[in-house]
Amino acid sequence: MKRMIGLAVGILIVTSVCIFFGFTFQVPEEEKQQGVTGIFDVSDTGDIGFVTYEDGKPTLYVKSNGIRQVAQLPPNQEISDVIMMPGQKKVLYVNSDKTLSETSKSIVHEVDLSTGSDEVLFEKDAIITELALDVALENQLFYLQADIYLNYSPVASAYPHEFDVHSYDLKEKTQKQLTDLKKYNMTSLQVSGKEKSVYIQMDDDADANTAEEVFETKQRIFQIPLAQPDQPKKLFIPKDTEDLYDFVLVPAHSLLIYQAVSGTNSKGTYEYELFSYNWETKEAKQLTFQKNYAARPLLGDDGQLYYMMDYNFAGRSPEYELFRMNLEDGETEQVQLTE
Amino acid sequence: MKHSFERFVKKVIQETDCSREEREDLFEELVIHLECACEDFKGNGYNEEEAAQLAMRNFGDGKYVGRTLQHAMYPFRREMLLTLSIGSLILTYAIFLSQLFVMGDSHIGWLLLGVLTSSSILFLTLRPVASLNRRAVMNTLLVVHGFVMAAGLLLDFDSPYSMIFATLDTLIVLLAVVLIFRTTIYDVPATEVNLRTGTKFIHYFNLSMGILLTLGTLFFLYAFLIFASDGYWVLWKLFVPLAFWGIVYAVQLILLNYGRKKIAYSFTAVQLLMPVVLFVFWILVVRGGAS
Repeated sequence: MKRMIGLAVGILIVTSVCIFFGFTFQVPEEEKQQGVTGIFDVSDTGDIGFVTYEDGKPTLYVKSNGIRQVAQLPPNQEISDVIMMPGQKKVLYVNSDKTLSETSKSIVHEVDLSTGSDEVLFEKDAIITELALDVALENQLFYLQADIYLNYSPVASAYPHEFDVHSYDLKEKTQKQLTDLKKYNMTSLQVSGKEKSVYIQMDDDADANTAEEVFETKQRIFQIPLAQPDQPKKLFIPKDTEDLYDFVLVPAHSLLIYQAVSGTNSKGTYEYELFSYNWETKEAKQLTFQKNYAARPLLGDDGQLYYMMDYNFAGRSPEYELFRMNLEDGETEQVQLTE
Repeated sequence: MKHSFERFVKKVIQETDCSREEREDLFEELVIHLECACEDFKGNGYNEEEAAQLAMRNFGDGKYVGRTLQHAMYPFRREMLLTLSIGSLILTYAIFLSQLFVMGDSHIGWLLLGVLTSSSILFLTLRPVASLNRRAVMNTLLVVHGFVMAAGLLLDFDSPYSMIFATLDTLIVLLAVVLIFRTTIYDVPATEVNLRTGTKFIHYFNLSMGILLTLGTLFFLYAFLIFASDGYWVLWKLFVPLAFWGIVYAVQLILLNYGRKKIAYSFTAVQLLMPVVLFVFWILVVRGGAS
């Protein structure tokens, strides 16, 4: 009997110690994130703005001659996008709640790199996911805004929906809704001042009426002329091309560079690579072969293709590294984001 | 004298996993055995108290004899239960601490459930409680424990030890399943009904079908929750085939006890239809009811 009591007391003690450790050493969910995220931008002078997490705190850095911290927010916030202002020593970024809810709002900031001052440009009671601007459309900041936030299934995360493209006049400080599409999803916002258009990736579901047709819908790229925002035009891409996600347009080479699934690895996880499609030669080509998650292609003013590679895609915490590719010869090098 | 024999025999029987009937038979047999031995010693010139003491001493250590009896009646059952409970306890602590220090996650609820079910099995094995319907209690514990440990497999493993933990956890769940089969089919009173091959077949078949239906129900539940945006009120319908399976199983056992073998066996065909019923429920009732 004594042995039984001893055993019971032993189990009780070990369990109590575990519970004590549990309360003492557990890390709040919002403080778990560490390291570089996939969010970055490259300025016309080659400076790189990028976001990292430090004990869950979203931190904005700019790599110029050295690396300097530009902004750091509390761990319950996240920085959704960053823009390096062309021709100016300024950075724009947008932040929202890390754990989004129906009451989440977004705040767009402007940081003056010379003085370090962080000014709030505007706030919205909605979720802004991306920012974009083009030097040819002076003072026009474009952004993607989701008006609702809900989960379509109790075990799936809630997600922003009903997307539209909006603009903000940096000089007049006025906002304007450009489209009225209320799309389920929109990503990879690009602006072309020359074409006076914005480009986005979204579902090609205009002709989808039944559930099966919606399920078969592919992700495609659309041009939205600023003069006729209610008439999006689908960019040509061969019909048999699979879903494409992030993209960048390279007008000088008549190229569309896009992210798509290239296959699966031995664990069955999708591998995402960057591909290009040339509208003149009508040739599609795979650009990256890193067998991980190539994302956020971006064309620098130096004519090189910048992109992020997540080496722990579908893992618990991403491991992003920035790469730069010469589009002429395909030579690729890693861009160090640490000193 | 008889009182001390009864006390001694109770200690012996305490170590076994017998049913109430087996326990009564064993108790009677062992007490008579001790009384006979006592009479023999008395015949050899020992007084009553000395003869009783010698009879019990010659019988052996009560605990040891009880365990030997248990092993003879239910080979390795105790060892299997001890392996399951101690293994589960250690694994529960190891997974909890690994999750805490590698991931920063504190799954206290899961820890408590794991410790509670593991230690209940451990203590019930080390010190069986005679007043309990031990097989029903143990089987219930094993089913709950199996689910708790299977839930451990769903924790977000992303550490260098994840493969080891997942493998050990799977082995624990499999051992729990084996013990459920064993407790239901073999570790039962040796009655005419229980010894019949047909009865064993019915248990094997129904338990396998129960596992299949449980996995199927959980799969459809998961699929529904992933894709549906509405219509959760229809979810209870997914559990109808499982409930029906339980009722048919119980009816079969009652029929067997009443000697209605043919009708009991014919219900096997009904059980065989249950996965089809589950699938039809999913297609027509549940999936059709969701938007």
